[in-house]
Amino acid sequence: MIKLPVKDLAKRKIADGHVYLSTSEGRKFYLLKPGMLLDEDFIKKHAQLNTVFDFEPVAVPEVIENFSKLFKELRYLQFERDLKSQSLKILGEFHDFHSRDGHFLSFAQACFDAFNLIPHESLKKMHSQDTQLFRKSFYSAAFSVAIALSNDFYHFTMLRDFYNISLMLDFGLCETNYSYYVAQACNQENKLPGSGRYWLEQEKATKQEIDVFLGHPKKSYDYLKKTKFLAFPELAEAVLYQHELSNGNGFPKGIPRSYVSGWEAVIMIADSLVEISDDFPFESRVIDHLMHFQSSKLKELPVGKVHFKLKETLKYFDSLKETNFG
Amino acid sequence: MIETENTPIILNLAGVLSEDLSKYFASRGIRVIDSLVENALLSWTHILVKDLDNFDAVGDTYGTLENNIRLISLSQPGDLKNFMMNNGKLVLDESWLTNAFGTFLMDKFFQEYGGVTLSDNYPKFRELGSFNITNPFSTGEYLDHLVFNAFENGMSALSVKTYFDHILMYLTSLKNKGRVGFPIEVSYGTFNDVYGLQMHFFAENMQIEDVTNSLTSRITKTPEEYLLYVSLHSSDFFDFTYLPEVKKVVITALWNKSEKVKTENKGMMFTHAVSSSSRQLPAPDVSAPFVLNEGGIEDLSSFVTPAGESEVEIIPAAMIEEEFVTTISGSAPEEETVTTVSGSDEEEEVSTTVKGSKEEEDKTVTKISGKKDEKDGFKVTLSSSKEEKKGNMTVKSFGTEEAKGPGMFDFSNKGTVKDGTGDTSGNKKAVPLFNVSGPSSREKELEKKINEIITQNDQLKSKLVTVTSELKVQRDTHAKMERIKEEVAKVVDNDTEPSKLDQILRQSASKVPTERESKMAEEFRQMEKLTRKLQLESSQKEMHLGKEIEKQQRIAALKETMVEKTRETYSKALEKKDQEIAMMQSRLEQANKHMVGGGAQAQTTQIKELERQAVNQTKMVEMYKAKITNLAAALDAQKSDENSKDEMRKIQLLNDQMKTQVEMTRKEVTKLQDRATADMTQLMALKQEKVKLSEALKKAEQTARLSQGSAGPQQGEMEVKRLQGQVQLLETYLKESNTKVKDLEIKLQNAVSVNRNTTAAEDGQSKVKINHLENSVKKLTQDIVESRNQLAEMKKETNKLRAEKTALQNMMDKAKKDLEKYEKKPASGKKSA
Repeated sequence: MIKLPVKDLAKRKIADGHVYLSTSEGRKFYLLKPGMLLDEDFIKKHAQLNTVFDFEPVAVPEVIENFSKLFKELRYLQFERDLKSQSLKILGEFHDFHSRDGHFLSFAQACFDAFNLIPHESLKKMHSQDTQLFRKSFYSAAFSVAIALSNDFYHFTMLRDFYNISLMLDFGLCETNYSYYVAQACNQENKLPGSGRYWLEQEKATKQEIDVFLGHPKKSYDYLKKTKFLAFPELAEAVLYQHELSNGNGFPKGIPRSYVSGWEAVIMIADSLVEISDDFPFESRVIDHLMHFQSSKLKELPVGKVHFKLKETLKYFDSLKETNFG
Repeated sequence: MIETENTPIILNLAGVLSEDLSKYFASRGIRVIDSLVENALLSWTHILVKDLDNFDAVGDTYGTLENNIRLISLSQPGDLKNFMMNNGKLVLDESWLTNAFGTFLMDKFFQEYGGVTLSDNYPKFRELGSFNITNPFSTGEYLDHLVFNAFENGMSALSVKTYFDHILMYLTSLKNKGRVGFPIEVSYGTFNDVYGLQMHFFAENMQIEDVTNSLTSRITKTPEEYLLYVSLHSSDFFDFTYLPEVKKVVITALWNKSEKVKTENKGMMFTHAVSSSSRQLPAPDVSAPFVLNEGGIEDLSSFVTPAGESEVEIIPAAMIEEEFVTTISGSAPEEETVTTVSGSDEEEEVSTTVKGSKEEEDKTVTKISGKKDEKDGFKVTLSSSKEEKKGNMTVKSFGTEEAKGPGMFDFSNKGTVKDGTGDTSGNKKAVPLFNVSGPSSREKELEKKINEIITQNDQLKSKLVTVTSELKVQRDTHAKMERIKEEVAKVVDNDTEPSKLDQILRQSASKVPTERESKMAEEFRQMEKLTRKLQLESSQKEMHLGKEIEKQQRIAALKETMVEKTRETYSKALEKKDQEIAMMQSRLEQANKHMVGGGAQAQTTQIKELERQAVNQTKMVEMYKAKITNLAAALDAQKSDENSKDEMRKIQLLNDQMKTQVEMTRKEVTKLQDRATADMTQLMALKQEKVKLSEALKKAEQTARLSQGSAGPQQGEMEVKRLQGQVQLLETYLKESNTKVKDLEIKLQNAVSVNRNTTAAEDGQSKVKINHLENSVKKLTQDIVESRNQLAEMKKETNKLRAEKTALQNMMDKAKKDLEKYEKKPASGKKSA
């Protein structure tokens, strides 16, 4: 735990550790979780008070720098072989993921710096609506990059599109009718795919709330369609597949598993990361989580092949770890 | 058999169907109606055609597009685009149906299902690899893997690579048009002898028409047509499936190891896939269940696997690590279609190949066997199977490839392909992966084989002729022998008892036959065997020819039926028309009869009443017409009035302007005239004064001379000054009037020019007015000219007066001087005095 003046915290866009505020009596108040957006109002308020925070860092600046450098290199590569080897290099950084804290947050921060194209207003809107929702999107977006890389989507522009689409995947929830019930329905849906709507109906949620829940993929899609920053606008279609199920009973389209493509599965698996974000501290065990928590859930999702490739790739680096580091 | 709503009902215009195809339809409960056999009119879902180049006639006759009747061609269409334009959806040679894969293709076509991965689209396939294309110009490494994999699986790497390169460039061109979205996912795999390569991508704006428009039956210079043509012709089977729910297109290319399929027919299929509401076929009689349930594609594996064939096990995703591998267990040998004509112990087998005059559709193996002593003891086995597994198959179908060896670039004997000319043991030939002359050499080989077959055929024919002649001779000898026997019998009948005859015969039988006799008997048996064989061959040929004739007859019959149908439709239409005409005539006649007087009184009054009404109506109509014309005329007049009103308003305005201008000029002129008259009076006054002055001057001179007075000169000066002032005043007046006249002239000119411009477009009435105005302007100008002349005259007069004045002045000065002289002289006189 270190002391962090507000002017130093203001340099960051995203909280890269746990931020506390201590009272004169020595009581600590938990202010910010890692992965939260640093709000301008928050900074202004504490700048006036010249606050010094208690800070517990999670992300590792060297790791962020390393990932950033690799992404920068990737950006200017053209040939398949080079792209492939660079993607393996990036994924290779994950090989000792299990032993180091904050690795995934560092990766997420580097991804945010390299790929984010979303206007600040939209991010702020999402953050002010639900900080948890923002954090989840922040991590999901980074995860989508890792999944895409392990599935041979290694062109920089495509990775950037995957990142931004995943970041805005739940933007459709940022509605006036977004409520506790809708948030809980999202959690239920993540625990047991296909159960969100049923849960809402059981809890006697209003029609508007059900509409927000069922209509959010379409609204997120509409938002992304309007923006002009996607190099592959057709990838935005993947937003519509985030709640599809293997048996064709998902929403909004209710399409069968056989119609879901690999690039859509990348987004779907990335979206399933939400569950880990509630645990504290979680950052040290992200990949462990990825490997285990989804196994039951993925039965319901039409994403098998992509998940398999991700697992295979990460296992490959695991085996490297065993060989090289005992 | 339960027929569901979606059960296909097929109209067969292709003639006799192969056994496999008939079996397939029977097993799936699909009703196939032969147009020549059964004259049924049903709502067809599909039409089977064969050997057709133009499908317009079929399309028009049955309304294939309007009624969404899909065409299935069992042979390569002459004009592919024409086929597609008439709702052609499937090209599949019956030879594909000799194995399970053909059945699967048919199932896929009739059920119209699809999926994005190879294992979803073709559940029987084992996926061997997959990759994504983000940049179509950078696919080298993965393509290398794909080509290597194809080669390892015994496929022509050249075909696979050519296909991939061209289809990718075709899709890239569509991407540039915004029809196709990236990435493209590629997956590839095998099933038995078939190798599949599948690509799928997002295509929001792409339709089947985008592909069909580029389909050509010959190579062209249009890039898209060229690329698609090469792609299509590089694959053995081309499957285009559109998934409208997710706006995705799945393109699958299949290659078959069987050379026969490659050369005889390249198949293709165009499907508009549906997911939940997929076409359901009833359960087949014998084979596995055939219903697509909600579970999706996994369940398809059950119905596409007929009993006893290979099984496909699809494990649900995320269950185990090997979940994505579609495992295929070994396939059970296919049942051979065997027709046994007669059977006996096989002591001797004569195997031969019966070949048609054209290309062989079925390799037929004829086994002829029999005991030496049994004349009719032949066993004929006819087999239509292409499979070469069985030991009793002595004739191999050519072109069965079996590529071996891991060395992709190893040009040694490791990578070999069976020659396929019959010798399966030793004739192995090294075939390199990049054998550029692949298809042409194959063609040459085929040509060679065809030539061989033709020569064999010729040889057989000549042999047949010789054998038939020999047979004739044999028959003659046989007949002779019979006759001899009969004669002998007669002799015996006449001379001996039956028991004796028996005895003689027995004795002759028990006798050891002489060498010559046994030889002859042997020869006879041989000849007879040969004869039978030849008879069989000829009957086979006859059958083949018969089939050909039947086929041609069927085509002709089809055409005839088409013609007949069109003729019937026309004749029906004509009949209908005739009927209508007849009805009209009868009505007319009836009316005439009524008119003539046959009708009742009431009717005649009614008619009269009607006529009267009609007359009234016509009058009314005429009246209304007149009204309408009047109204129209009034409307036109109103319209023209409105137009002329506007013009009149304009003219009025101009007129007013002109009038005011004219008024002003008149006023000016009157002013000028007044001034001129005033000037004139002044001039007159001046003249009079001048006259008076001159008189006064003369008098003064006289008085000066006479009385030498002193008061005169002062009065003269005063008078001169007054005159000078008057002259100056006159001059200023003149100047003013000149400038005013000039201004007026300019104004007049402007007014005239404006008037001319505006009047150019105006009608005659306004012209008259303008002429009037112009005349008045002319008059005014004349007046002005006159006044100007007057002014000039006045100027002249003033100049004269001025000259006179100066002269008078001079005279006055002289007079003054003289007066001074006179005044001085008396003074000096007085002084001197």
